[in-house]
Parts: sequence; structure tokens; C-alpha cells
Amino acid sequence: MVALQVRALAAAGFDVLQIDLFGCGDSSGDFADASWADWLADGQLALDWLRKNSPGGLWLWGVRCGALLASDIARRQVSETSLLFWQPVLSGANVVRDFLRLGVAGELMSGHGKEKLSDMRSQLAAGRTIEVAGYGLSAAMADQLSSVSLTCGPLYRSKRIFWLEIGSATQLSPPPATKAALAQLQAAGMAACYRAMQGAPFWQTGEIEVVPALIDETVALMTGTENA
Amino acid sequence: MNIEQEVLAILDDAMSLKGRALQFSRDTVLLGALPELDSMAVLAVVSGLEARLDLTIDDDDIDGAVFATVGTLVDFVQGRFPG
Repeated sequence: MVALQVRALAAAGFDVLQIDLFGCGDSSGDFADASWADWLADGQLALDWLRKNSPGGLWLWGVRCGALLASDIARRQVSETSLLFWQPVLSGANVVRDFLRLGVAGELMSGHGKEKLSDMRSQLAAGRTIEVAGYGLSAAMADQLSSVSLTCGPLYRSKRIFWLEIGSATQLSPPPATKAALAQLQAAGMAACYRAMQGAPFWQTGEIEVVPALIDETVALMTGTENA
Repeated sequence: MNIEQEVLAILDDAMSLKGRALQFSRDTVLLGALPELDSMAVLAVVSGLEARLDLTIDDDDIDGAVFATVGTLVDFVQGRFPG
């Protein structure tokens, strides 16, 4: 989906730089050794490169936890950056919780003597790394994540936010927590624009799923040609 | 709000069953019976319950007994609502 969107945006005239964060994808390092600060630095590096190599306004685009990272990077900029979120997680604490929940769910699947989520939290608190589905969440990362949320500080120089989500088959309005976050961003003076569409939750499916409507809507919003 | 229908819709979304879950009954066995109910789907059900029903699910609430059948899941959700 991301690669398809990159191509669609490039075809619409955008310069797009897609990065693999430290410990992710084809980048060096091990996920368990990555820190939030590493990821902030990776994003900064990418932004600096784009500033040098591409004219025009800058957008930071993130999917899920990447949207959270994008917002935290935007918060640290002195010049304006706009934000594009796909299915953003609302807070890092939720990311940590979901990671541990996935571990608990895995235990349910295997039918093993169950490790409780609160036990995993105690292990993190004791400085140990928790491994779930082949990914290690370090105590440091869990700690740093827990202090970040989409609305945890003013996004000083960001005026525009496009927030796109795959709604469920039965509900396309933003869930209550999302609505609250949007209202908070709008109250802080940002033009936050929410769109939801139907499609497969491509970020969590085993098979590769494509949601053409999300790609089209993203291009339409970014080029200002929605409903044109 | 009909909690059972909401739960079935959330199950259907979480497992991408395209409407099949809407035909489930209270006795439908979940854990161990549905290949689509993997750990990501369990997480999606929990997140779906929280997001759509505005519930808070505590750290140690997720266990095998809750996810045994549609009935146990519905009863669990019912129990999270005051009154």
C-alpha cells in the first residue's frame, strides 16, 4: 500500500522519500535496539535531505505508529510541515499496550500457561525486553513511547493535517477517542481534515491487501482536487 | 444498543468475515474453532470493542474464557457497561 501510494503521489508531481527506520525493513540494526530518539533522528535526516533536494512545502506522512512519529518530528521543526496520517495510533501508550496484548493473544492461541499482561508490564518496568511475534520491545522504547501522543504538545508549525482511516464495514464516523483528538487539534488552530473509507485493514492482514480508495483519496486531498 | 449485534459486527470486521459472523449464535465457538481468529484478530476485536463501544478493557481482562464463545464474549462486554 505504501509503495503504491508513493508511486501515485510521485505521478501527481510530489517528490516522495520513503525511509526504513532503524531496526525496521531493510535498515540496519535490530528492532529491539531501536529507540524513539533514533527514529526521530532518522526522520529529521530525511526531512533535511528533502529540504535540500526538493522545493515546495513539506509533508510528513506516517502509518499507524509512524503517524505518531511524524507528529513528534513535526513538533520539533522550526518551519512549517504538514501532516498526513494513515490510521494513526493516538498514543504511544496504546502502542505498548497493543504490543503486550498481542503477546497475551499469542499465548491464548498456543494454549500455553498464560502470561498475564500485567506480568509483562512488570518485566518492562524491571528493564527487560519483551518479545512478541519476533519483535523485541525494549524497556527504553516502551518508556519513550509511553510519553508520546498525537496531542501531547502543540504541533507548532503544522497547520494542515489530513487524517485518513479505513472505517469498519458498518461504521465510517470517527470513533469517540479519534473525534476527541481531532477536536483538540482543531482547537489548537490546525486544519485537521478527517476521511474514512471502507476497505481491508491492510496494516494488520497476513495477505497483502490493497485499498485503492485510500490511495485515490490521499492524492485528491494532497493535490486539492477532491470531488473535482 | 444491541450488544450482541455490535459484538458480531466487531468480530466480523476483525476477522474480515464479510458478514459471516453476523450469523453466529451465542453458542458459536471462537477460540480454537475459527482459523481467522489469530492473535492479530484477537487484538483487533479488543481494539474494536474499545473504539466502537467506548469501553476500557483492563490489562488482565483478555483471557481464554472471554474468547471461548460468542456468548462468553457478549457477557463480558455486557458486564463492562454500568447498570
